[in-house]
Amino acid sequence: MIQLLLSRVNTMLPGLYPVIFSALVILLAAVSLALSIGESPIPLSTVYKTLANKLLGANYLVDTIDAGILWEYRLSRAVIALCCGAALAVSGVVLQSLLRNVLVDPYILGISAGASAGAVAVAIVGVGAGALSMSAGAFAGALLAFALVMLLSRMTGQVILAGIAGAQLFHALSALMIAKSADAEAARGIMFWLLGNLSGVRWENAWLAAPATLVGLLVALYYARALDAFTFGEESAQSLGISVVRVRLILIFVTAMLTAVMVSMVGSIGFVGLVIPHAARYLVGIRHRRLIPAAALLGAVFLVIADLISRIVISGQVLPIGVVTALIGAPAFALILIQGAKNR
Amino acid sequence: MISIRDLRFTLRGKTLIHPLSFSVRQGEVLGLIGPNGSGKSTLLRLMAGIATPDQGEVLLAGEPVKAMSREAVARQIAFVAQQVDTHDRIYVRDAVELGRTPWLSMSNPWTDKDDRIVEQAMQQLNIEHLSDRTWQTLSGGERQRVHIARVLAQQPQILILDEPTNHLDIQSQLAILQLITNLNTTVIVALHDLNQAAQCDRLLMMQSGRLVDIGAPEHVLSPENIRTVFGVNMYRIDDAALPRPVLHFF
Ligand SMILES: Nc1ncnc2c1ncn2[C@@H]1O[C@H](COP(=O)(O)OP(=O)(O)O)[C@@H](O)[C@H]1O
Ligand SMILES: [Mg+2]
Repeated sequence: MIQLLLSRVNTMLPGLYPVIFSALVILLAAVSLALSIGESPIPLSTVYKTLANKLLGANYLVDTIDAGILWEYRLSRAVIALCCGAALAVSGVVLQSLLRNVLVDPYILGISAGASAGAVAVAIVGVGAGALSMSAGAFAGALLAFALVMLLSRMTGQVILAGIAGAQLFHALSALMIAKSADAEAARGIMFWLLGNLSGVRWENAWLAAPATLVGLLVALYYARALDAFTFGEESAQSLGISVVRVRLILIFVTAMLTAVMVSMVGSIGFVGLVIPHAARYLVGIRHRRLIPAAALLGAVFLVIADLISRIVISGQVLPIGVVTALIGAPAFALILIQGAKNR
Repeated sequence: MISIRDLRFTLRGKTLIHPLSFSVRQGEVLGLIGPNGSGKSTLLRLMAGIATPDQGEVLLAGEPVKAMSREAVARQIAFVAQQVDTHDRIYVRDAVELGRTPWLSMSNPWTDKDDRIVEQAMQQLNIEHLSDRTWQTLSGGERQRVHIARVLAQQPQILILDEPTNHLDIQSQLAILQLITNLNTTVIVALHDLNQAAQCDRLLMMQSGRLVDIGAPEHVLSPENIRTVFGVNMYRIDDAALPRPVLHFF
């Protein structure tokens, strides 16, 4: 029965299995390392024993402090890194397909900056008078930024430049709000958060990040065929029976939602949404039924590892994760550009 | 059957298509001719439901296209625009499979039948050997054949093609023209070459967004029409050594 189901899935998605399987194994390994490595190293055996205790109700004897660090801090942090990576990578895939431009992602298009500004407006300025959560503010900011950037790009025909202008504008707005309202110490903390930082996250954040990512992933998968139909452009998609306006609207809402949820927790993290879709396309091709799950897994792996690096690269200090993703992502992006120029 | 009733299209205050009406018969090949900018592409986009008219309507078997869902239209009308390209490294086989999109949904997943339809379309266009090639490695003629295979896989009743022989070598041009004229579906095709257009069942001649003439090729391709619309003279060469008369322009 399961055999039959698996073979059915395999004929549907040839070439996906090996990638999904290896990515899952690497993801497990990366999460294990992320749980084990840190300011106070915890042996892998303790990691697995604690997980068995918590998840399977086993009764291994483990140090309660170790168990506490593992469960309360490191695991929640790893789960959020994982969700965040998957969400940003899927957003990148969707935006690149919808806009027919492989050089866009939530960060480039200014959606992340808009989400940051929205979150800052709620958290610092007090917009919404406490009735709005930071995520809701981020969502509003993300949609506003996206609308503005799309309008500018329609008028100029320059998507990327419009995105840069939008991102700069919303970064400036955030800086303005922070300078006006926060004291120096708080401002430093916020600036640190804006660069992408997973230090403050707890389980309650994971309970928002995980369902949001799952919903985003499922909606994107539901529209996989529609996204495929965009291969030869918007009009071609339309002539293949896709309600272009509706599909666009839904998927833009979903990517804005994903970006907003992530930004309100961990700040804006660049290059994941840009570079991971390329890597995934390289591995499994351009059909979205394969591309979306592959990008989600690769993004998850990438961000768990990037977070690990951010914690250990300078001893006693945490580097913003956005710095790590940029250090890895920028050269990768350059390679993509060079490759693209060669193929032209 | 597709009918156009009193259709007008205006873009930013400029009327690109002046009110026109005509019907296309079941199974016929209707050729659209006219100088550059005469509105051929615009009219085809209106008929395919890509652009929305500001007056009049397109009727499919008597039903207004406006009232139909995008998907329902796509099951009846397939469209290849004038320039369709992608930067994606899509495989030829995958590109042809896109044609099945309007027939698929969560409750109607891909089956062996879809595989057969795709394979048949690829055979018809002689592109089976290109199956595993990516789009970027194809020549212009090969790409055009892939586009046509895709719309055949869509299994429409009406095929709308915008200058499908443009930028192709003469052999590819003739091959595509022959394929089009031998299809069982209704075909509406914009053509540049008037000698090739003469092989259609009927011709629709346009000038500055207006319908000048519609009818049999030997009627529409008259020296008077050619002079008014294209501003050149035409001489018809009837020679027993030729499969059909040749039009000479000077
Ligand atoms: N998007 C557009 N914006 C402005 N004018 C357009 C647009 N598309 C077409 N036109 C104009 O409409 C007229 C008809 O164009 P078109 O339908 O492409 O002609 P054809 O296909 O016969 O060469 C031309 O004058 C062209 O300049
Ligand atoms: Mg044209």
